[in-house]
Amino acid sequence: MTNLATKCRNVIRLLHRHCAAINESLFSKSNGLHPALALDVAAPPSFKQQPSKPFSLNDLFADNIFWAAVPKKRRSYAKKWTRRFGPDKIRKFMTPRINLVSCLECGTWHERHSICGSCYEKVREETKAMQSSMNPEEFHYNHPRSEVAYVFHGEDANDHPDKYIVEVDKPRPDWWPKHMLTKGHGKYS
Amino acid sequence: MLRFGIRNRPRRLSKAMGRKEDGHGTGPPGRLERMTIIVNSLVRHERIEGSHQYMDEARGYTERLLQIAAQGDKNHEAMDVANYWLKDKDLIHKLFKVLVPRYENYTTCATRMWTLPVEYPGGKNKTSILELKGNPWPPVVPNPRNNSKSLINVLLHNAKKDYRSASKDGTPV
Repeated sequence: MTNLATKCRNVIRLLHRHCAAINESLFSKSNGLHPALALDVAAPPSFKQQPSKPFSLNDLFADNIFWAAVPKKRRSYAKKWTRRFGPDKIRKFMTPRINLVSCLECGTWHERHSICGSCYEKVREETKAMQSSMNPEEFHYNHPRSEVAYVFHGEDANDHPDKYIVEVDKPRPDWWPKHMLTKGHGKYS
Repeated sequence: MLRFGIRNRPRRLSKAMGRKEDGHGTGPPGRLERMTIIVNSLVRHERIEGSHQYMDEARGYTERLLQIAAQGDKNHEAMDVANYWLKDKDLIHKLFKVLVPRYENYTTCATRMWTLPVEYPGGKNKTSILELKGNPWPPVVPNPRNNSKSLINVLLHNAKKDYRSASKDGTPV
């Protein structure tokens, strides 16, 4: 019985959806019925452009929604409330996090085993900017066959012999570590 | 021999082992197919992000590929392996001409992994960054703090020193 009721509910839902089509089929000029109860509002352009299609019940039954699976049994309150506020949700939202640390640079909280997300965001954006500064056809389909050097504003391309030079159309960011710009440092440089 | 810790068994990757029509649901071959896509992407971009499971699996395959490629492009086996793992053929040149010379004198592994934070409340899966060392991009952690002068580290360092000098003398510690 409940199954039948849900099917009927689906039909009502479908009727709502096809309301526009029914309205048009009843009150269009070709059928000859006078639109006595029609609203005195200009129809939206999308409604006007739709081709007028005669309404038929076959279309309703051919719709997949009518034959879709529906719940057969009513879900009890005990199960519903357990699902919403039960032990799973308590474990997920109410257990205190003890593995959080704040970033020493920007103060954002993150897990101890992970890197800071907001600090990495600028690195990600910078990386994307550098990647897009190379010719996309070369980057994606014919990758350079030597090491690539990205030269920012105010830098000399001659510092990188035997390298594929890509010019980036902006100055190098301030936070870029200084020790990576020098040619060599340490014992084995 | 790989220079980093790996799992004993391969992971059962759900996307690869499920049944799907896009070619990734064909069991172990589909899993390898999936891995080739990630390795291909890593060799091109040199830094990629994704779910930790996939990145960690692909890491081992990338390391092995670089080790085999170190035999040179005139080696038949090396070329076959490179031809299988790199579906985009312009990357074969990059592998033999750029990456192999780059990692020639490395005593460590060629890849590095970082874990990204999760959004609250989070779940089981975590997102990771997998990158090739010596890439041209800005470093993931730009200015890491030097903690060697913090009190606990100084104490530990000196305790270690004392322990070693004592054990050399043969006196009981």
